[in-house]
Amino acid sequence: MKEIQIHTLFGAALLSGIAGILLIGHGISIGIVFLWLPFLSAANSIRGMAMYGLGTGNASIGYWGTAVGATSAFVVSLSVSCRSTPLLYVAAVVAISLVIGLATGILADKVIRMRIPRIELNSAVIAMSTAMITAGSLLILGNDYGLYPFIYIIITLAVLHPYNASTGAGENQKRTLLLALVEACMTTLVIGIVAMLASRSSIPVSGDVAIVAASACGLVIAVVAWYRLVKSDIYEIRWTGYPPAEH
Amino acid sequence: MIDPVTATIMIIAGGVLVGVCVHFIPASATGAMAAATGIATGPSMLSAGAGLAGIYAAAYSIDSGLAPVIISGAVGSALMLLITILCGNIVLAFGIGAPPVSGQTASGKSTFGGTKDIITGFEQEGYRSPGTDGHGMPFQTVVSGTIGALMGGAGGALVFYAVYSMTLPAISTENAVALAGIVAAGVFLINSVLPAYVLVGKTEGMFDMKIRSMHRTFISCLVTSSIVACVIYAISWLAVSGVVA
Repeated sequence: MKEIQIHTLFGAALLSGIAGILLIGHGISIGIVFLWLPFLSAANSIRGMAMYGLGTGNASIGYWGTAVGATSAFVVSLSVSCRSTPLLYVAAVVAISLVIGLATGILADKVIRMRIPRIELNSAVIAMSTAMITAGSLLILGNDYGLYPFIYIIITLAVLHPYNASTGAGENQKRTLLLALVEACMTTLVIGIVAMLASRSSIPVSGDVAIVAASACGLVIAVVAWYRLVKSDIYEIRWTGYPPAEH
Repeated sequence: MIDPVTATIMIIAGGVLVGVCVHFIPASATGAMAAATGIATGPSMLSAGAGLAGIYAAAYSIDSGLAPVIISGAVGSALMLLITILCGNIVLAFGIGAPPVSGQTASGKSTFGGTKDIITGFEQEGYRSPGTDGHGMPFQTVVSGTIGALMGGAGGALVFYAVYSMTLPAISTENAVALAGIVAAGVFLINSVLPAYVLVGKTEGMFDMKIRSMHRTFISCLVTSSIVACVIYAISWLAVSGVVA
């Protein structure tokens, strides 16, 4: 089966992420569903890097990528209000994460000589995707500095885990991305619940409830689709009782 | 408090220290199966863990000035790493009966040559289980790890204090501490993963030949930290000057 290219998925994620942030910025909290694509894009790029046998684990690359993206979003929030000028905020966040992500990828390729194909592109994509997700989360949760570590960790886990869980014999892009969608829904669900509980949340409770409802619906649909795909993928193994020869 | 330009230089220096420290901390994922010398996890994750412990320790002395913050960070980080090494050695020695042995030293490939622990003089050859690259953390790797953790903790604390100083005029003290903590953790994670590419998932610290590739880590972390530091400086300056969009 033909795989989705990195730039195609990221192009869609970029447009979707910006649309989502603008919607949330204008008080339409349901726009968070548009942030699911950046999750997929980040998970796909982690897969793109980790499948070549990194000198580090999937976890490290997830932590690193989110560190670039989230740190950019956190630092920019100091000067540019994510609430009053969401477009300027997202532009600044994406630009800064692009520069840091690309620079790190080029250094890993040229100085450290990793020789992983498209490492610089994947680094930049992970950084920008996670930056957009962080920016969206900050818009919902408000500038509550105490929640920054929570935002960082929850996004990290959602982007690093799909490939880590799916890796091994028979891993394919479709199943990994579907698992990324499951985790994206799960993450926005938790963000919605925390926004309801947080005292400094910047959107009304009805908006938080809408996020929780949309994420819960998405989660159910994604889990069912993912479970069906897992069953379909393991059909040969279930049938024979032995791993297929081509795996 | 320190001026913003000095703080920017401190962020760069801290980032480089964080990157270099990973070369000194003995870690290997296969250490979990007692198949290689070092703590049983990836070098970058272990260094990040030690660094975060250092940042937590540094945060407690934030009001006491730069020197106590750096010392707290370094000691907190080293303490975390030494406790991890001690527990790892106890589990390996008494749980599965594998003595701490340096695989590189046992095979005569350590930085200083020979088959003996460079500090204690204990013979390593003959204690290594067949088919493994050593197991546990012998004394020389503990010393190397401690040096690495002290460097990493000090680097993390430098970044923490620098970001705190830069952001304090724009936001309240508790918010500045929270923001500085997460930004310092971010800088730590960015810089600690880069050396992992050089180390290829395993190192025995300064007694491993991979220490000779440290210049690559140094250059990479210097460039990355410089970009990050310039971004933090520019945004803090905008915030402090009141140019808030």
